[in-house]
Amino acid sequence: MAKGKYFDGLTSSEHEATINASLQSLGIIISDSYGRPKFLNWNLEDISIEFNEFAKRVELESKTEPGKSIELELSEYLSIQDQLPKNLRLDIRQNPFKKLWIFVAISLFLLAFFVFGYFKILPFLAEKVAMNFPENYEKKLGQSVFESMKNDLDIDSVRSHDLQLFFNGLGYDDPKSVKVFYSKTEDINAFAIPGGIIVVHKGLLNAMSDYTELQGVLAHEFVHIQLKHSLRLLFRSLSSYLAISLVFGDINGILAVIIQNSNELRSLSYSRAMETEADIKGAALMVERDFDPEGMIKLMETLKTHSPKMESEVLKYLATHPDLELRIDNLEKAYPNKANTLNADSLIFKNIFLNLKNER
Amino acid sequence: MRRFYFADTGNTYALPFILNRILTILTLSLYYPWEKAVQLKYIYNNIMLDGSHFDFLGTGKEMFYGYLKLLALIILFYGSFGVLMALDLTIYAILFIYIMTAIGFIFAVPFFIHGGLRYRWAKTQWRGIHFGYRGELKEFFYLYVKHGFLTLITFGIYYPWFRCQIQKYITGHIKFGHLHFEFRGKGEDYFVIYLKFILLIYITLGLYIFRFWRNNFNFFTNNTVIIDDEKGEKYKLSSEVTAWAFFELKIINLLILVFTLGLGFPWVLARNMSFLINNIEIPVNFSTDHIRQTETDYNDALGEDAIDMLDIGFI
Repeated sequence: MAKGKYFDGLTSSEHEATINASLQSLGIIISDSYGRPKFLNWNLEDISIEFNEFAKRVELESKTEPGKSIELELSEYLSIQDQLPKNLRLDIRQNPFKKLWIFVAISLFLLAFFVFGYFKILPFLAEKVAMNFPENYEKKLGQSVFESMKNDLDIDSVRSHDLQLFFNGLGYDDPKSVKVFYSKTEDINAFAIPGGIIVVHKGLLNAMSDYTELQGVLAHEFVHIQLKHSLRLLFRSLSSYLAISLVFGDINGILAVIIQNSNELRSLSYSRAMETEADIKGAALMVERDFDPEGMIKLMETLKTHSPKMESEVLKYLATHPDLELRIDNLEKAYPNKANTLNADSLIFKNIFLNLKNER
Repeated sequence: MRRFYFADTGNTYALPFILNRILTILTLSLYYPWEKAVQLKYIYNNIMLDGSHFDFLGTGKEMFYGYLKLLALIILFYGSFGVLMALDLTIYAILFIYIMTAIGFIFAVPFFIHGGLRYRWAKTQWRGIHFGYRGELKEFFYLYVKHGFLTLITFGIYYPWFRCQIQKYITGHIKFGHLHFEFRGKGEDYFVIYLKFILLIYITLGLYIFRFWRNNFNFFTNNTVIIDDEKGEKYKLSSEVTAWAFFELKIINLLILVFTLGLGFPWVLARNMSFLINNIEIPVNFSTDHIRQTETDYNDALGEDAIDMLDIGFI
């Protein structure tokens, strides 16, 4: 016997109902609006039984008399369930706390998946895309970036020509594919653009004391280009932006990143790993060509004397250019014997270098 | 004991929410109508009035057909734009056609609202008694376009009157068994609420938004009346919610969403519903015992999803 509420589908009146179940039918006793008992007999074939999980109630509805229904608390239903034929019994597995745990488990899994995807899968895919990016598109991209910053750079075409000769002489690469430019600005810096453009600032050249430093800086930048560092970086920041905007639903932002990144490629900071890679591989390239890798170390020392001092350890950690001293250490460990292995062309390099430094 | 309240804290919706969300994402949103049906069932089943819960009888399947129709409209809209591009017309011709289509879309809004209201109210029930929306599309469309036009040419100044007219029409055509409703809000009163908002929002560095929400909520609640023609009685709803309550609601909701990366949505939903429902007072003398059944079934769900997409809320 179970107690529930009976609704007749005609008015909103609630009627107390007592339900007895048997294998064929439900016997229902309700009290009508005057309080008199009334007997109903619902054939089990003509009713639907449903568990409303949110209202946590069992609802019995008459199929032959639409609108007539009975509502039972779950515990009341369970008290008559055993008397119902098996095929009509509800399969109720409800335990809100158990369910909450499943929710927590799924959420944690999703979060873990997201974190893993964000830090591992995404950079991996970005890397793949960057490495397979068509070369002529990369060149076009680099060219348009270079065009957009050309005015600010104040390019000196004569010195650029000399610089190009210097670079070609190094034999790092097929000379046609990399273009080197001399910028008349005072920055103590040089940078590489995807597709093979290297810009060296006047400030850096004048700070150098030795042509081997120029060999070093060109080797360093060339490695950035060869390993597509900036392209990889661009794709990486793009992909993480894509992921974030997928979560927060802002796709328009991607366009902003592309524009922003292409404009700021110059100040784009490579990761510490990339810088170190460019140092070591650049020096190796120099050795391969019989140039003195000491040039790379001298270059770091020049940069060091001209860079603002970073006192605190925190700043050192935050800086994307690994601390210059650390970079020097790395190089010195890699090339301990500072024996000068002079290349036969050194005189030519020296002359071009001095030419570049000369005020005209 | 409250007569009208929301009965859950969000716990029971957590699992259905995440499972449905995953399905929606995996099916590229095709599953969305089913997800929505579950959500509506959750909401309705937890709104309690005099010890009985509300029911939402709509199904994902019904809403899916409406959703497909809507998708077809959207594809048609963007597809036609693509075709126009391919036709090699002048940019002005394309722009003209595009603007005309956009205007056509604006004209479609009342259709969607009407369809959505018809479906939603027809699927709402309490103790077996159906709700219903008996507005006429023609009347509603005329009203919407007329007042919409006035809003347009007054650069939005007319908006409060527009909003009140629409609310008056919609509320006036909602039936709950033999009961019906009335909205008494006046455009000029609503205009004052807006005016204060515009004047004070900058001075208070945006903090006035909570007071504005309060005023807005109280305005719509306090101007809604339940009418029982058989007894010849009218029952006024009321609300005394404070701006501080709004502040607390919104700030905590924001914190929940941010710190759970959106996974805390079920609790935010429950908090919103509790806030909404628990702040509506029903007059003591309003009896829910003898509401007579008058409304019938209605199944076309076109509009149900459109109003969702257009973010037009109504209750």
